[in-house]
Amino acid sequence: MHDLLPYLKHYRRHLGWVALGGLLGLLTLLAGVGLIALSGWFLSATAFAGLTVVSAKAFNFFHPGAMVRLLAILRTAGRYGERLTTHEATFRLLAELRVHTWQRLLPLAPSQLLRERGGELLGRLTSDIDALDNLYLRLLQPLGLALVGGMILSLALTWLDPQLALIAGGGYLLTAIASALVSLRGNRAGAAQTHAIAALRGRLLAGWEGFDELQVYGAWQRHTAALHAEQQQLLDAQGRECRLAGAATALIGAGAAITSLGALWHALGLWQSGTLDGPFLALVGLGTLAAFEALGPLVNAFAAYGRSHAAAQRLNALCDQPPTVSFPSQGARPMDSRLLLEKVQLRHGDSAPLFAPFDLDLVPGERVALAGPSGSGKSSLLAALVRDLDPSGGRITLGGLRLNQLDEATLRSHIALLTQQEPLFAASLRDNLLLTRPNLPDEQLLKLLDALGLGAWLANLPDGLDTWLGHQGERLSGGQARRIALGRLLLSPAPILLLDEPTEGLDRRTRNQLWAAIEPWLAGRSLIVASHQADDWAACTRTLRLAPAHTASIPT
Amino acid sequence: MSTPATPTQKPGRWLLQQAHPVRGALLLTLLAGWGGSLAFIAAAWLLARAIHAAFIEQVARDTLAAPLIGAALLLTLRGLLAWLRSESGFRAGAGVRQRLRTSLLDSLAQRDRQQRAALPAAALTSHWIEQVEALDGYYARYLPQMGLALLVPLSILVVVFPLNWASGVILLVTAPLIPLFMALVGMGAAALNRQNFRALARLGAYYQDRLRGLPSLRRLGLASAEAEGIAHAAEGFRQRTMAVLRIAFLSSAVLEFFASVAIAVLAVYLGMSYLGYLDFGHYGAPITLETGLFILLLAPEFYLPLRELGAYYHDRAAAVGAAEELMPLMNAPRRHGGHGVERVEGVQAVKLQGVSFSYAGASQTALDGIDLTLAPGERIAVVGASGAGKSTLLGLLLGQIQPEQGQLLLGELPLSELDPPSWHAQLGWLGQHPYLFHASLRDNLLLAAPGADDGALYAALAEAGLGQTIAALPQGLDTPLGEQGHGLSGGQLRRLALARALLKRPSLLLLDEPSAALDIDSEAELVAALSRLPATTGMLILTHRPAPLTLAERIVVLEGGRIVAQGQREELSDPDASITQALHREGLIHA
Repeated sequence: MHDLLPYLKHYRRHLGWVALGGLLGLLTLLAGVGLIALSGWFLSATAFAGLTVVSAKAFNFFHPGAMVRLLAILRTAGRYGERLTTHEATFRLLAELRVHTWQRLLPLAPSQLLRERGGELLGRLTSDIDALDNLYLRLLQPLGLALVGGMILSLALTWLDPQLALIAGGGYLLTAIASALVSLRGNRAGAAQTHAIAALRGRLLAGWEGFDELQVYGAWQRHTAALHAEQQQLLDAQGRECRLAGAATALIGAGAAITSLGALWHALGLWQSGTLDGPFLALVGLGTLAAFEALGPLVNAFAAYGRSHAAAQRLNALCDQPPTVSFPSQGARPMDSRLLLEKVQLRHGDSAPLFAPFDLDLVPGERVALAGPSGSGKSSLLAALVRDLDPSGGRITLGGLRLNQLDEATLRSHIALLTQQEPLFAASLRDNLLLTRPNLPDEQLLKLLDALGLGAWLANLPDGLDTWLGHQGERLSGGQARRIALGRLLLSPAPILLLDEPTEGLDRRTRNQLWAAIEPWLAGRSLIVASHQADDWAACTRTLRLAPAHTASIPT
Repeated sequence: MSTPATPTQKPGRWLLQQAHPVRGALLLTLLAGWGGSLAFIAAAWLLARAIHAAFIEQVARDTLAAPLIGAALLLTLRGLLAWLRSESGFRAGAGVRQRLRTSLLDSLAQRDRQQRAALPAAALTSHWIEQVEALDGYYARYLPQMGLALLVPLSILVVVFPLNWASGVILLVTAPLIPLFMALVGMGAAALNRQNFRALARLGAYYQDRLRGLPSLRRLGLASAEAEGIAHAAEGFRQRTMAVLRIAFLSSAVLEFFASVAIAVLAVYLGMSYLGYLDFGHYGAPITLETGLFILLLAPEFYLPLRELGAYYHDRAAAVGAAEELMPLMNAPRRHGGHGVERVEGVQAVKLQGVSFSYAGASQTALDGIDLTLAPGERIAVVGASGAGKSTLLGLLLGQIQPEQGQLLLGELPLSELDPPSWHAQLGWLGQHPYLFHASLRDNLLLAAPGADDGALYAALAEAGLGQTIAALPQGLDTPLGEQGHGLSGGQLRRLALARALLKRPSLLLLDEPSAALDIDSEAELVAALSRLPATTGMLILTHRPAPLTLAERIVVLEGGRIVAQGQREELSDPDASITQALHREGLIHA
């Protein structure tokens, strides 16, 4: 439970909505039970009064009749209001959970965010937050209603007879506990489902990427058989959860039957001993039976609890990591944008150093190509320059200051990085380009897109710069997306640009045209280009080859 | 999805069709639900009778033990039937999902390379996992509930009418009004939904999108400011969704209203009849308390299936949404012609004779009158910019697509008449994204040759130039491969894939951009390993990099789906040869 506590405190800010939702839910529940119980009483009382003409005429049917109508209206309005307010609270809470989680993630280094395969972690985050959000609607509200409603109804019975209240309330509580114990066992089935879905996803993607070779190796059948086996595990886990929920439902049914008829049996005794009015027989029997409806939603509530709990554990494991890189809140200003690397060495965790220590003096306006075999640490070096990770040896200074003396805003305003997989955002083409430079006139964007070789493509877009990219938007080829991301970086005001394989996926002609065309945006800036394309090296003034850890780097 | 097929079918019909194989489970779900209601009707009668007997007839409590125990047993039976109902509902949903995943996988496997490339990984998993899951509620709950929403009220009417026609009329009159009101409310919500749909979809996807881009936003210095954007999108999402819900919840309010009002009206009608103010609805004999309580108990049960149907309505909405996405996938035209059964005998020449092919909806032909013969053991490089037709050529050779014109012969037999596995058995494959399991090196190699012993595996590794590297690993062949083959470099992984291809002793190696994204040293090692292969191993090398060209005896240049130049590699020493000129134009050799 304590995994969930950090999230529960968010409810405080929406206590008004939560309380209103709870009250309306309670009102609906009580009105519903009251309606059927009072109707039962009313029928019995009128039937008894109707046995003689005198008592029939004397019977005041006006008040109970009006009460019955009132309860009917209250139940309807209460249900509608409850659903609106609980959803209102849910969405408000969701907004807050999202922002809060975002802020918890902010200080983490990218390597901490992308620990798991294929960025699935960040994808799952959204559904994890939704699961936390569900906690209120699926667990807290029904649980609160079941407990408070049950208590109020038993108290109401005390007024008739304490022992009767004990029978009805006790049966209700026992049933609630028994069904909760059964459905709580569905927790593990919930976790198994998450696991099975992750396994399915991984295998499906692998099969899609390796489709041709699986076919050629005659292994596609084996692959699909494995997929089906994993699907079966998912279905088994779901089946277990369903079976437990079904058992809990059956338990509630049995509990309701035994309790309400037990209560009626006791009430019959009271009536025959003369301590209870006859019309209350129907009230007790029908009312108790109706009250058990409040337990129904609990069957799924505990499965929801299991999911929320697992989600909270995952979120906490992610968000509570101590950041591997931290920035001072108020840093000094660098003198200029000279980037100096002295005996720099990098390693990931405890692994061996990626390359031999080396020096690099990047004076403003200089362009250096970074070469070296795949896996030699080119991308990691660029990451260290924007402090995605810190060097394990040597020092990096910008304008005379060590990078870790700079506050984050200062570092970002000086050094910008184009990674190998730069995402575009679900926003218009214009907004994607203008992220760091709002208010740039459209002509400049058009000129830039032209230089990137995207002019013809843009001219064919009906919405032009307003074209929506990302989810539900225009589909881009890898090369197009890459060039838009490059354009976005070129517009950033940073005096130092780091480009990781900027022309990957472009053919040679396009590549060389691109370098010539973007020259106006590069003028005056320092550049480090990691690439294994000779054409990219040619666009730089010198080439630095990263050497394996045991030899020295040789500048050429 | 790149090409949403024209919807020839309504999603609702399609969903119903999928229910056919699980109709047994659906029927059982329906019967269990109906049985539960019948048990309740019987229990209600016993209960009403007991109260009547005790209160009006004033019989002793002990004589009522039997009917009350009977009622308790019937109510317990109802609980057990509810269990059966959810169990068989689950079976129905699981059955549909299982079948659908199988046939989706089949239909996906029929796609050619271009169609596969058009389906991004995220869309694939969303279709095959999430959207198929989204169908569950429709079969597990919604469909059986449709039947119950008719059967249960009807059964109750059949019981009530003979007892008291006025009560029957009260129930009967309200029942048809419910779907009517719900439809009106639902139409309003749907209209509102359509207006909001795009905005809602975008706002809903906003957070996920920004999360994926968080590292990038942070490097741009925009991440903390984005918290405001997230709050804003969530607020917009809340306002728009609540606007929809305010109307959508009206439909459940309508149900609730009728259920409540019917109870109230019945109570008042029966009460007034008892007091003698009303005198109609019965068949002569005055209404007893037993009848009144019985009818009153049945009233909530009358509306329950309808209310549940309303609650399951979002299951239907989710299923229809998923069906709209899944139908085009299932109905996508299958370009895959029928397979032949002829087995491939011995190593044969591959002949393309005037082969043309164009993709549906494309204005240009992907391949246009290609004539090309690959003699056994011959090594040909095919070069060309992306879009020149290289991938189409591969698709044809793998038998994934069939020529529109001309023919592709293996020896003297058209490829389409051959049994694909027997043809694939001769092929080796090395692409730019070698498929590797999260499993040991051994398991990855055994993919190509199940049952090969370690000696054979090491021999293949040695041929690929990896023998010593792997032998030096502490766990040797048992070394596990993680995501992206953790622990081995990109070049080593490519050679591991080569070793796997060699295990099959292929007579023809298909090399699809074998050195893409490798650095020059790794590329050189790979090419060296390939050049050491026995001369009997034919190769078809698709590339736009110069190094793999050294493997080829003959070079073919594709441009816009046509062969624009071809020649022997020796001709490259002549700067005026057409093949030299063409490669120069492609930027593969310098002047």
